[in-house]
Amino acid sequence: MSTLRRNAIVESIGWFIVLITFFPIFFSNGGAEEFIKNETKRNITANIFLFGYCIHFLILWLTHRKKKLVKIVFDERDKETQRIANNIAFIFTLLYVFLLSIVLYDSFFKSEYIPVGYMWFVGYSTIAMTSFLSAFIILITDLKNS
Amino acid sequence: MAKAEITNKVREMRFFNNEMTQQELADKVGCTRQTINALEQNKYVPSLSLAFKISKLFGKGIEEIFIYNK
Repeated sequence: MSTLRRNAIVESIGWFIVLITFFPIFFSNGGAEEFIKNETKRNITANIFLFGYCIHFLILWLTHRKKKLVKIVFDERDKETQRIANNIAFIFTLLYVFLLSIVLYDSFFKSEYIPVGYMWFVGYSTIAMTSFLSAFIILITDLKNS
Repeated sequence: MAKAEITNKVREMRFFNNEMTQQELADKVGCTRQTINALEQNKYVPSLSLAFKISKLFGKGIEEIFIYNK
């Protein structure tokens, strides 16, 4: 198994855990309005994202360490796979942000205001979704091309 | 990555060079074993740089190893 694929699997799993943990925490007991009042919820969320980034930096460190032991870790084909996957993930991220904005607009159209707590949701979920999608699409592209 | 319009004789060349392994070839030309495998299955078209490295390693011209299929 290539380093690229192994990294993509680990990162996909890591960010998927972040996503499925963040959503229930945000929406449980009052949703957006409660999220800005409840410091515990915000701290837990920050730690979940810290976990996601720890995995990301752990992978970077392990890959860097492997470079000292193995001659070639990434090559031109891996870079091409990453490039294709990042382009696709970029489009999906744009779509996600657009659809999320439309859903929020539609949901709060009548009340004429959006609870400010949803800004946390937009910010956090975009980070997690983009990171997950990038890794997952790298994995799919690599599997397709192998 | 597009389906290869360019096929190659890398597998054949490895065979005639003391049955060099994919890993050995990969190490010599600076790519991963997976890339050599994809090349041999015509699932990947290498960069010009990699194609030249492979040709040079086998002591052949680039057009003798990589064949452009119209």
